Amino acid sequence: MNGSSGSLLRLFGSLKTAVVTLTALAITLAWGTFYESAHGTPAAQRDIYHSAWFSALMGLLAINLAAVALLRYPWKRHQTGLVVTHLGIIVLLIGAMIGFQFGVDGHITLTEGASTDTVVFDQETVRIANPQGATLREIPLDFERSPLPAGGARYRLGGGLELELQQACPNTREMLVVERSAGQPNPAAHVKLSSAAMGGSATFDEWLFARDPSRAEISFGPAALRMVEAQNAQELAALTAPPASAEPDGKGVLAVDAAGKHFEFKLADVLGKKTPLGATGFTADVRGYFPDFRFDTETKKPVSVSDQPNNPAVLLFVAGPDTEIKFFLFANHPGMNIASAVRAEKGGEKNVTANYRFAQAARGAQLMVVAGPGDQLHYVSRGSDGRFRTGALTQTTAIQTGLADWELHLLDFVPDAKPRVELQPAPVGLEDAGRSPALRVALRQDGRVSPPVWVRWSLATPLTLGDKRVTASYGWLTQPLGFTVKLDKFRAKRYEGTEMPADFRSYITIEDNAHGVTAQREVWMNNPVTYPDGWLGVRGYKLSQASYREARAGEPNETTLGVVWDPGWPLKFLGFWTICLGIFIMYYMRTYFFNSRQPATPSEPKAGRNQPAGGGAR
Amino acid sequence: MKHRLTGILIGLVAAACAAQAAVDCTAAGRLAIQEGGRKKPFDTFAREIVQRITGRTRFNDRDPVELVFSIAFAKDESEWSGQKIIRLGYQPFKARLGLHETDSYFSYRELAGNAKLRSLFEELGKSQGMEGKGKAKDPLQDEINALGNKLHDIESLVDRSALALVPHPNDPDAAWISPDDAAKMAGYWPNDTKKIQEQFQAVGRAYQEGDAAVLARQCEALAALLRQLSPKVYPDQPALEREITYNHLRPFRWSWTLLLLSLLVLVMTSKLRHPVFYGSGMALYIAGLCMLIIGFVYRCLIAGRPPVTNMYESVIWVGFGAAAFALVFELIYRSRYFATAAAGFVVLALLLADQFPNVLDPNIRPLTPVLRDNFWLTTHVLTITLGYAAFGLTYALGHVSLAFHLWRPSARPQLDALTQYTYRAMQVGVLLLAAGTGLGGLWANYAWGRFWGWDPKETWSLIALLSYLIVLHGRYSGWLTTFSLNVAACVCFNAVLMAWYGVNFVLGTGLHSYGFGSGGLGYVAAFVAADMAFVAFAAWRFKNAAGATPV
Repeated sequence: MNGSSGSLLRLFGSLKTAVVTLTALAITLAWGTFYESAHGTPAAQRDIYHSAWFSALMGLLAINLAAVALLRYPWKRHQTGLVVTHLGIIVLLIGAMIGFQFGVDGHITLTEGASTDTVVFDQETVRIANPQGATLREIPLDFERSPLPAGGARYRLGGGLELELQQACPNTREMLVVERSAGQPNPAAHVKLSSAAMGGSATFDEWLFARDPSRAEISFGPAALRMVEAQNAQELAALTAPPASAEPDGKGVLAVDAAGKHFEFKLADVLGKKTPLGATGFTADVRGYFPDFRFDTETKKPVSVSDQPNNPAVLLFVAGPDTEIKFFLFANHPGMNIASAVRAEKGGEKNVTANYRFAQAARGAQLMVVAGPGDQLHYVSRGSDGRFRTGALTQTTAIQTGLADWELHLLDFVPDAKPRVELQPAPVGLEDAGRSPALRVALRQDGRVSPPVWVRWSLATPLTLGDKRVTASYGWLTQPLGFTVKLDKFRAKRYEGTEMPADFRSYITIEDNAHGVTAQREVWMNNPVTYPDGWLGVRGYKLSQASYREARAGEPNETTLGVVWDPGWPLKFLGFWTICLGIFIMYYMRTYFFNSRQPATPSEPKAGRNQPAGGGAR
Repeated sequence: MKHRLTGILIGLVAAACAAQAAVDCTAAGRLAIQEGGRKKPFDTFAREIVQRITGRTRFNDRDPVELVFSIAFAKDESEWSGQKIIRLGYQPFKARLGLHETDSYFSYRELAGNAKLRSLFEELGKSQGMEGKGKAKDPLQDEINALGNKLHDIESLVDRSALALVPHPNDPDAAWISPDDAAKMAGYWPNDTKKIQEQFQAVGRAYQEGDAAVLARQCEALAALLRQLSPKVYPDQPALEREITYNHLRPFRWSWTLLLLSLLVLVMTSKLRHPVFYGSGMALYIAGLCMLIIGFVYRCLIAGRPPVTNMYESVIWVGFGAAAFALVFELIYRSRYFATAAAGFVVLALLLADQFPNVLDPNIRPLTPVLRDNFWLTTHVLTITLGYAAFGLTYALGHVSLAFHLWRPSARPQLDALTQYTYRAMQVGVLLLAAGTGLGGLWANYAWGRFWGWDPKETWSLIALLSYLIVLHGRYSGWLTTFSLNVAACVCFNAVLMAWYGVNFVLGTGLHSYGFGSGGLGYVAAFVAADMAFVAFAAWRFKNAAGATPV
């Protein structure tokens, strides 16, 4: 130890450096806790404790400590406490470094009955796999720490293929985009309903599709707006006809065209009977009337959910000499009428058509938009004032609906609509739960670029460029555990007579097929499970009860277990006890270690001045 | 003015009525009740609910059980709704409600009938619905909440729903019910409902008639009946008696009184050489320590766990630690300084615990699951708080030493001895704080596999340790003189305060959230500021004196 290296060692090992390092560390840490209080734990962990400069500070401390110990070599008897303490801290720091570098710190979340064989980390990642499922590349993402550059980022996938990350959205929502489909009829109207009295929050701005029952109607307050389609002038006339007061208890009008002749009946007159259709040889047989039609998905049978003619439908059989055709006719949705041949010569059913009109139709829908023939829109309104209104609906005029002060505007009309769902960036709300992050990515090779594709959170998405196919998955970073953890049940006990949790525990089954082990364990606070155990737990994952979510009755509970592996803990353990021993020796075993009466070292000139030789001396 | 006079008159009449109705309710205190997740004597329940409503366990020197009965068994509404028992101290809140700012106590009638309060409750309900995470605490909101709870407490006494006196027939974990809850009573005791209700009504009648002897007899009969009906659930009489004894003994109040006397004797007789003065001071000191230990043992027995799980208990435990360390040092050095310094520190700690029940909650409550039965956890907490205790002693000795430097700078031998004592106490603290912090790591490693996670609490205990290590290293290097070691002993205790109180009450983040609380920040900050001013003044005086006459 000589020359500059020796003086460097002396500099690092000096008490002054020690005081400076300790002071710097104390101030940094104090600032860190306030930073954490203001910005939250993840920010503090990211910006301070897991940052490179903090590691450097800890490294400086370790060098400092090592230099202190080395400088005093060969160690004298009275320095035992000092050397033991400082070596203990070095061992502890090495243990911490090993744990930080190689340790695993993740979690698993399970509902009762579910199982998993992977541990999840709080690290977003996008994984690119080939069609065989093999990972081509796994890209860790942290947009808070390193946001995506404005021009995007590219990652090589091998074979000249590149992934281009164009945009990262912390939240997205699905938007309905309606395009024209060049002639395929599918009338859709973009309407807006607004009410000055109800304020801006009560505005409806929706697309309505006459042929899609799930998108044909919107409810506003107690009323409903429905879009229906009229195939011909007849249907249009029926739909826009004022309510026939002559027919208060009527069941509507059935129209049948057979063999070129037109017949109309009041349904009430023909229901449940076989009615000959003039001299055509056909017979109409009305077998069913459903004033409020629903298709019961359980019994797979049509039913009526009420006596009110909210959605009137009839089941009609028209039988001819060689034909029998079954009709299901809907007054509100003539576009959905079904005709099927029960027994027919070829094409026979085309000779017979049927229609069902209900003047009081759509009593539930006080407001109707009717797509009539010739791509004309009409509106029908049965106002709360009892007035009946109807007329053409155009984009230029707003319609007073007569329902409170609701106004109907037509924003757009597409007779041949092709709806498509498109993902669009959305603002991030306060609640994190419903967030739907997504990445917009494209593949690149030799200057060719694939069209951009949204890769949604935890939804594997195929990407194609020419004949290249890969699958992209965006989600948390995971790692295989090597065994399976199954949550059998989760139970939370309460303190007597309260909702305060006293004890909550997960009953798990660990299945390790590779070693033929199946073990049932319980995990609760302060009582983790280590698997695989043995080797003093050095090689095993520690599964500890972290948090839980109790479900409503009948639904499974959910538990989150911490999954941690720290290969450095024995060194931390050893280091800690060594430090305690060292301090004890320094302070309380001076008599024993000083009995050779060595002179005080130059580096602690005043240490002995105010101290008696031992704690027991007086 | 007229209204005020009427108010005073009503108050006087009410007070007179209350005085008239004061019945000895000791026997009622022995009934068992289930509340807050455990079974307790009615005496404890009454103290807690009275403290929640009035801010004190004994309001206007009325027996809390009697006060509770006067509300629960009132003959008509006017008996309780006009009593000015609800404490409301926050000035901006009183101003918002249009109440007299000089009054601190209000009646249920004037608060519940206050239209402004109702609209504030509605506002609070709305804002709580919209509240996101990490929103800063609004003191007014806390106060509105607290007042809402107080009103609810009174209502629960009036409709007797809080009087969960009737146990489940056999399930020890099931909720107890009020005898007035007809639906639940029928579920628990289909055949005995009538018997229980009649006995309960007999208790109420006896109270209303003001006959203490009959009341005692009826209470005993009710307890006997309930015990006989559910023998597996009803708690043992000795356990109830023990808690009542603890409630009435107030061992910690005795302890600080004795220690204060000891402090006075030791300080005032410091110049008298006769051993009888030192002996009597130490006898008082040991008596105070014994009361502290007795209180501790009681708490352990009642709660069934080591009592270092909230701020109140840790303050008392730290007081005990400082007193015990000082006694050991006193036995070694027989210097009187240790006992004097420790007595001062412990009196301060116990006074805080005794006098601020709204900040340091003295009630025995069930533990969060994370704190339940764990060897490493108990060891960790006890060790680290003993470290705080040793540093508390260091802090107190530092002050004694500074005082000597200020007022008796010529007493060289005492100054050197005092500095050495400060140093000794600091050593104990360093060992225990290092061990306690590390034991926390061992516990975390055992429980979660994470030895260290830079949680604010553990970080601050490390900062406290580091600050004392800086002092020790500075001392070795010769940067710190005898005098500045004492200054450092006073200054560094702020880091301990931060780790102990500040993380839970100021920062309010991290994993040690079960110990979080609020309140007292202004007082603590004022105390720290005043103390640091004293230290700065001492340092300035010492520097001037050193400049004038080189040491």
